Amino acid sequence: MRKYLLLLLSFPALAQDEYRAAAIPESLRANAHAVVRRHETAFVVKSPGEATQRVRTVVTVLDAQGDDEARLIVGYDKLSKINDIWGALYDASGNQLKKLKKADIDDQSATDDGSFLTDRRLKHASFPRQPNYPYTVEFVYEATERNLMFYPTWVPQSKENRSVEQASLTITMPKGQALRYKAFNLNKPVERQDEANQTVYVWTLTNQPAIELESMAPPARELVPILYTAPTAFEVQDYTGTITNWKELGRFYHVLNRDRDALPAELKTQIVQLTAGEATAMGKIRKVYEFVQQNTRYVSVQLGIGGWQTIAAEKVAATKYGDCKALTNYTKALLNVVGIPAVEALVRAGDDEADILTDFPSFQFNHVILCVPNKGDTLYLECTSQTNPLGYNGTFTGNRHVLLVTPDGGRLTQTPHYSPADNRQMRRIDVILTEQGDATAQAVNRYTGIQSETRTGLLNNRSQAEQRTWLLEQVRIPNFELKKFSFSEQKTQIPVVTETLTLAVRKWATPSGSRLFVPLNLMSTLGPATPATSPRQQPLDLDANWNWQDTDTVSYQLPQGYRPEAPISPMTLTSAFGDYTAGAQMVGDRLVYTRRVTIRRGRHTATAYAEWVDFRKKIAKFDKVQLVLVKGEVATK
Amino acid sequence: MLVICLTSRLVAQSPTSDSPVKPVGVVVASDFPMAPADTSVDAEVLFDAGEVRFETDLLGFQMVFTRHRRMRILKASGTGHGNWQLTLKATTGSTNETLETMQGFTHNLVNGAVETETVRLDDVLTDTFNDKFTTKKLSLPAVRAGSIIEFAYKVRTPFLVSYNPRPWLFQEGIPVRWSEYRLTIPGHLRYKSLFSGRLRFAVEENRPATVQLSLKEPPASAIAYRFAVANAPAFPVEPFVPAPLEHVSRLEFELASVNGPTGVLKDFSITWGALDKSLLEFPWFGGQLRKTAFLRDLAASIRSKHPIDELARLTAAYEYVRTTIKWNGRDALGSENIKQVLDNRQGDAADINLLLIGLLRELDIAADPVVLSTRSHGKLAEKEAMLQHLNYVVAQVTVQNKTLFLDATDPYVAPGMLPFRCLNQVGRSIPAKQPGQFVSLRPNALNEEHLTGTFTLDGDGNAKGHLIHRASGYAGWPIRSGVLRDGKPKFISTLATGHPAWQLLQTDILNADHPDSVVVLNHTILCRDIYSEQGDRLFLQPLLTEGLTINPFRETKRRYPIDFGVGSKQEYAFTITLPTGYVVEHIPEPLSLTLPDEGGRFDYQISQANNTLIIKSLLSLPKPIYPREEYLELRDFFVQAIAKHAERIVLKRAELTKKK
Repeated sequence: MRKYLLLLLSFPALAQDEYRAAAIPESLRANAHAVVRRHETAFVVKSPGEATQRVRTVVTVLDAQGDDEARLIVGYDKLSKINDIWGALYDASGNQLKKLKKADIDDQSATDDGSFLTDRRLKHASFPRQPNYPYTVEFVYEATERNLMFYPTWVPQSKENRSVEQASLTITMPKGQALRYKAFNLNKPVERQDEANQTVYVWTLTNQPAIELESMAPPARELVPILYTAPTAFEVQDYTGTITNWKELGRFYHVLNRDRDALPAELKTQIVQLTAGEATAMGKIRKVYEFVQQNTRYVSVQLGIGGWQTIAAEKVAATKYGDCKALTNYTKALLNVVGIPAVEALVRAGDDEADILTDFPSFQFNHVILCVPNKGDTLYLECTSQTNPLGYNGTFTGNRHVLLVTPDGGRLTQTPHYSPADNRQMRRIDVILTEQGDATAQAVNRYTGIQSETRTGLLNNRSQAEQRTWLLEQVRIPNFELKKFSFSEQKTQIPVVTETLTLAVRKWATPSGSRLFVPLNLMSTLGPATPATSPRQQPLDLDANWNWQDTDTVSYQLPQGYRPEAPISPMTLTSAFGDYTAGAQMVGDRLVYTRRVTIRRGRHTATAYAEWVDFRKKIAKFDKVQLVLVKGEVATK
Repeated sequence: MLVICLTSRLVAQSPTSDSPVKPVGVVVASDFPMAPADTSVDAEVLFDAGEVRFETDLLGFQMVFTRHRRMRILKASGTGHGNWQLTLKATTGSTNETLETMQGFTHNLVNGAVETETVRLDDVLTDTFNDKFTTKKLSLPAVRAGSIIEFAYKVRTPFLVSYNPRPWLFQEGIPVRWSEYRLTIPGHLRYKSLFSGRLRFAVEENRPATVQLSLKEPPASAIAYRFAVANAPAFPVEPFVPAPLEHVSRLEFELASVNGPTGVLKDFSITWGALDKSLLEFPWFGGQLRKTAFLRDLAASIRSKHPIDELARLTAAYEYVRTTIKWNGRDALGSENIKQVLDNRQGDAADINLLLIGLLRELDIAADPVVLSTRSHGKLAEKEAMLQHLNYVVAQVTVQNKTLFLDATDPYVAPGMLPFRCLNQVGRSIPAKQPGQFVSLRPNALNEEHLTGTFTLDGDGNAKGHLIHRASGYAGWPIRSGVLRDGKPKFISTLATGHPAWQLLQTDILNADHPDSVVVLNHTILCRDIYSEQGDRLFLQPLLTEGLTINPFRETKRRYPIDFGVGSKQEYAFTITLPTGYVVEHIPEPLSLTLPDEGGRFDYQISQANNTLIIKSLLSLPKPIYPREEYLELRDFFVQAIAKHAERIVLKRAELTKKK
């Protein structure tokens, strides 16, 4: 209770004001569906292994799109407990309409699609949908946490169209236990109070207007107020650790997971025999990796500390399945049998994840891969994939920092970065054009690196019927028939997938008297960018997925007797974002159209967005180029 | 006893066929094929055999369902089939469905010998979703490309939890070589069943049998049924099929009646007439319409405001329910208590529409419930009365000799228009005192849009002018709901984001809050870089940024009807003033197309008057549904219309010495 009073004293306004809709400042209503009136978090660390958390939120819902905010969802698992949930509903004037009843609180499994089974559950509390706006809801919950690898991340403004009136975070640490933290976009520094046997840290935030993420904005953590916190000393189940730096964090993970790599004798013999014919280390690594890919599969079961500790390699050998930790540990054990050293690498995986905060050692990871140093020719192996080429990380785990878990402790390194030359789309299309404007096209298209991922996923995971449906959606020619198609892949470290298409296109070119008007760019248009409807506020972020290059060569066999009436002037563009060139010339008796676009990743200012839109518009215009063919005459120019 | 309604295409072939169902867990080397697997799919079902029997205990009847399913994994991506799960139900009184036995097998052929791994009931994991549903999960070991896997399990379901066997699907997203279903029904029970889909039975038989319902009772007479379908192809996904499950070959069941000392007596009877009667007797349907005394005061106040005009009273009652009660987004067939709905001011579709019917009846307006199945729920079967097919109710009223439908859940439709989700061909009207009948839900309104544009081209690639977009019928719905939900400025800004080629200088929106009227968007637009130059020539798309661009029908084959839900009409009338110094070199030829059986028309023409071009386009598809036999013509209709819209107008720079 003392903590609560402490917070009240900081905000001398009348308690009822926090429920009254009229008390909301105008600046907080703009663009907002809901206003967080109060968000008060008190995290009290009792010991390295136990903490309590109390969170009070008061939210005023302004319209129907804010209804989702009028509920509380709190997760828990075997190592945490929700002790109490309290809630109340108020009308626009702040009068209490009703209190939350036990029947309004649901307890559900929180196993998501990515996992087969977890012990994560959640409590879900809500009030029935209200007929009148605005209305206010208040929730208070108290929880006990026994897994102190993780301390709270404070994000009072965690959604678009949500403004924040007052928010506070109080963390109480016992004397002798240090707190680490890193703040972004907080304009008030922390207030620290040292007392006899504890230290209290207080952060506050007031009057934060609602935001909306603009197209291609940087990661949300750069734009909203956010505070990351982490322990130095912590305990979870029977394990203790300290993390003042990455070395110690890695050491903890190593201790948690070591000595689980015993393998059955027959399996060891089998692996030795399998790799016996390989003269090089690379050859052995490849054989082991393929063995894992062909003989295991990914099934995720995350229970308790099991969420961070692998099951024994012997179990994986028996059941032939496991999650990312288990399969990585299993692969490491197999490589060890043939004398190839490897270490786990903790990573934050995902194609839309920002890189970890390298200057804030904490458990920011959600995945494990295997680093094989291979005498400087380092490979990072994805042990959960049965189809990944050896050492390809791509959008899932490439372009980012990882933490190597060596026996001496953790060490940060980086997975491979992919350049535009690695991420290519190369289309070679041969077209036969008729006088009526119809065409048949044979396309041999190659995609490499990041640009290969969609198609390799299609080739490996989808039936032919599904591949066909996807292609029919993908090819943006108005009227075409897909006569034949096939895919094949090369599982090189920068993967290549080849797509072969046979198309029949109707009315591609327009006949007019003795002329034929032919659009030249058959398959590869890049549309315009999302225009800004109001002055842009946020920087423009072209992330790692924007490092690519497309080259198209379309070779047209012209109808008998037709020639271009005039040459096409070459089209070139250069900008800070990338380059574009396109042109067409006669090569023998064929008309060859070539197009090349290169885009480079980078961060640009908000004002540069207008230039990006303009660059894309110019490309879109050039992509619509039409050639005039004329019958009988030879070009006079 | 089973009463079956079958589609007319069914032919029962030989009375018994060789069943490929093998004993549980027994796989030999010859079960693995020599030829390389067909990897166009990632797995196939070798056989899937289900059986339902009945037993009794102190609490009443129970269904006992056993299943034995064997699959072959063809690609690494198919190993996910080795993860099994089943959701079981409970009642609030803690009577549960239980998983009684479970066995899982993985068989791999290794050097000519079969290696088998087995898992049992103890290995099953439980995921308690909430107090009503529990999911049982099991992961098979050692699953890889080439494995044959099997599941065999038994589920016991007390009648208190559910008395209808789960539907049995003969067809799935992967090929099924053999799917077999047996059902032994004691004489006490009568079930209705419905077989849907296009596949035929390879086996369809019934014979007398006896069953031992419990150890205490003598054997009872029963009938044993057996159905099987062979070589079901993977179910294809096609566009414009609102409820794919409707077309999957499957058997559905519904209990018709129970007789006997240990059973709970239920009698739904079999015909639609009897189902109508049951609905009128249910407290959550007809029962609600008999308890409308609480609406008398409200009716009286409406009556006093509109003493003469019945139509005005109808409108007032409709508007009252529509604006007072908030729809919670849920479809429903019945209501627990419509008085509470009025007190709480919110409810589901049945809460709201039964309340509306009650109010109209208190006003002495002829109003009856019409029950239906929403689009995503599948079309109701007129041949067989299945309560489980119905999931929604609306009102049908007759006033001043006009009959119209009313649904008070949706503030954006005009009275007489049903929300799009209800447009599912046919519903069932259930009047209080006359026999029920089927009613057509075919909408009168269309998805109708008119775009009128006046533009001037400058010489630099830009078009400036006005675009007036009139949306009526169902076309107005997204605009109305968007404006009322987001407000005009936000709606316009979202519209601009969706049209990157436009620069909206000014937009006025009219009639967004009048559902009876046409919504009008009046734009002043600048389109930059709207046409391309090549030397002396300009290539201009006649409809600028608008018109048809992509054919929704890419495939050349079609299995199922094309269900748009509502007819549509799109009209364009653009006037474009050409830049000075250019002459017209090529104008697309006019085109007129029609579809058979008044199925549609496309009319397109461009005419020139001095320095302006007038472009007119009409595309009309008046039918909500097209049969699959008309697919190729429909597809070709789009091919030609799209090609015509894409055809450019070509302008050429006039020679300086030439006069126009």
